[in-house]
Amino acid sequence: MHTRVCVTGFQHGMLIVGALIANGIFSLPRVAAEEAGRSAWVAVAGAGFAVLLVALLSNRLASLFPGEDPAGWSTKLMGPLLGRIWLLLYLVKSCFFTILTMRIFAAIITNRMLTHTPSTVFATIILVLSVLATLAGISGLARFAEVSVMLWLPLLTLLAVPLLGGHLYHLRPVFGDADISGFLAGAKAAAYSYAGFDILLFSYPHLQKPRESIRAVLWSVGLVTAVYTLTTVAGIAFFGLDHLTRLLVPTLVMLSIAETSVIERFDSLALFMWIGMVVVTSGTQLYMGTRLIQGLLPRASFKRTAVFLGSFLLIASWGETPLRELIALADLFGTFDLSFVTLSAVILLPLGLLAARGRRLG
Amino acid sequence: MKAKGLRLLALLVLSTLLSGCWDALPVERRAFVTALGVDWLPEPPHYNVTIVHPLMDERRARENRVLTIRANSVSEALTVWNHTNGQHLSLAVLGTLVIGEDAAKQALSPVINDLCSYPDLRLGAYVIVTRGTAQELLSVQPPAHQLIAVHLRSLLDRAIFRRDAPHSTISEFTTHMMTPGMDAITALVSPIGTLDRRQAGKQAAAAEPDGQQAGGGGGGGGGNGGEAAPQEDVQVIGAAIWQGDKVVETLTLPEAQFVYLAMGKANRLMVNVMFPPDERLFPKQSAMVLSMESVTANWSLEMVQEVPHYTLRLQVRLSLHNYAGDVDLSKKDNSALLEKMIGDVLRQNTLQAVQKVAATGGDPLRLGQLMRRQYPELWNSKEWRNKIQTAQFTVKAEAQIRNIGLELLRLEPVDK
Repeated sequence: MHTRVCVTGFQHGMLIVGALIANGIFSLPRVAAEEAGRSAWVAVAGAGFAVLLVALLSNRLASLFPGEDPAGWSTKLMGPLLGRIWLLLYLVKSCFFTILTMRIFAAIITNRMLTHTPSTVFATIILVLSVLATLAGISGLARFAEVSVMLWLPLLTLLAVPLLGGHLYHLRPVFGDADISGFLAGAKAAAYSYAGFDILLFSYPHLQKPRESIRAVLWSVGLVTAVYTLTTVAGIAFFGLDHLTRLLVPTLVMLSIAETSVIERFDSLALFMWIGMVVVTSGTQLYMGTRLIQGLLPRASFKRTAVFLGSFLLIASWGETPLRELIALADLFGTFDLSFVTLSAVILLPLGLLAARGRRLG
Repeated sequence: MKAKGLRLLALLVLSTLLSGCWDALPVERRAFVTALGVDWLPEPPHYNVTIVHPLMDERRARENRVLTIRANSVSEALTVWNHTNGQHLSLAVLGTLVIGEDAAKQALSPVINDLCSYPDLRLGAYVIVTRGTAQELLSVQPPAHQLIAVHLRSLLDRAIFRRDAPHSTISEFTTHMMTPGMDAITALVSPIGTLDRRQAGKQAAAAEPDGQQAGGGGGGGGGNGGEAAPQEDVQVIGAAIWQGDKVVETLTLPEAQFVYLAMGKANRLMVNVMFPPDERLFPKQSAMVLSMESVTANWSLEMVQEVPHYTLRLQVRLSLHNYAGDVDLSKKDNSALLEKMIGDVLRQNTLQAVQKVAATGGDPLRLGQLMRRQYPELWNSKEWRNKIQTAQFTVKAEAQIRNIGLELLRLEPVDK
């Protein structure tokens, strides 16, 4: 595939923010608090810091192969067999991520707002939009991410309502409520929310100024970590642990509490505005999936592959799955996703450095 | 051309997926419940659920204003109503959840769970407890064609600059209900006859044609008015103290206000206090309305032989409303004396109110949370309701008068 230099550093960061924030934030305060108790927000912040380190490693890995994304350099780095196995695993991960993203959001809309409409309808709409976004290429995705994140950012101000209405004593003691294993389990539970930043591996080759990538990674992951931490703080302070751990999607419940004289149901408004973020996330995964198929089958057309993959994922995930089951599945998947990306970065970076050194010496 | 055709086809196919096909519902087929009442009856089916929605409210005939359904649960009642009525029930604009006196003494958590099964439930709806039944309260016909649901909600919203109570939403109530070491406190309301004296007189005359006056109907309405006359207003008469999901005690309005003071939630409340006779400051009148402008309540805890000793430090900034004495309060000595007297009265009343609440085992002051934070090794959530009953309390109050009025002394004829 011809690599076109078309993504600015800012767009690169927005793409990472859009890929990270989708459905995970809805259940994040609960899943983290179930494990880490009152220290959940510290666990979420800690997980964000760990993700930032992995993202920086991934960024370094991407910088070793300018002009190529993993579909191009994986077989060169690991050899044809191992490279293809890795690509296949990566493809399966991307496909699962796309399915989970569209199905969870569709199930949330069906559960909370449009209760008579089958969730498959919303899943289809999200997937069709994702395919269209993917067909626009990485530059189109990046521009779409810019708009979606900008539209979504004002919703953050609604967090002030639960923060002001909450009680800080729910957050105390900051440490000591859960032991170190609980703290780590809380950080692990946040994994699904932090999944998706590996899009930077695919957008890096398209950067106009590759040196801006580090800064983009720092502020984008930092911003997402701050948002997640603040959301968890608000959830614990407002509901308290006992109430919070019984709410399936506490973030949406928090949004439903914010009322003004004009708009009484911010959660409905938020869900409609959130669709952009969800499409960015599933679009980036679909883009990665398409590129990974091209890595496995170099002669495959990008557009046809994207349409085929989107159609296949829609048919493969057809049907109604309860939201509770989907969220439980997402928690498991999050651990797999983050482990895969971390292991890939940790193992492939030394290999890449060795290969780069060999190239220089050769 | 082919691509355009494909795009057109895709748009046509997608348009069939628009959700309006499934969830479109004309507004006249929606019933937006604005107030919901829950009563408990001793014989099964136990629940009497009263529903108020705007279409009903428009019919002024009393028998049509509210609809009551008896069922084994709130969920069953709402389902029955949905089926028989043919309208789609929505709790999205629910203003108030009214709990009858007897229902409040039963476990309320099944009711909350039933309501939470409705995804559009408005968690910002206020929870109130009523003296008598919720059905009676929701049957009140407020004056000036106000809707009872709006009237009830504004009753608590207008707590600012009134002698009422802060509101408690379903969300706050649920958090307090579930969390160990804290309990809910909700406003206690009651229907009253009418606040209009002329109207009260007419109603009393109509009810008693032989000329005998019905008791309690007029003059600000204390009591429930004449039996024959419909109730026309609602008044906050105190607060209900919860322990988990059951009411364990009710407080009078003055007691409730001192509990709010101890909670630090009395900002902008008007508190009516009685002062002990004092020749220097209160030669004529010993009752005064104080407007609380800023209240800071700091609780501290010390364990003495495993008995919790709580100390409350109150700092109140207030304004005087009806000081009837003739002392020049602009003089520092006089104002300092009055501030000290106010501080003493606030201290005594707050202490009594706090002790009364603690004796019930309920914990709206969230004292258990202080215990949990400060003495985690002694904290036992299951034993807390017994422990708080043995707690000792000390209150220290400091009052600061901000506004004494524009005039230094009373305005009255001189040498006439």
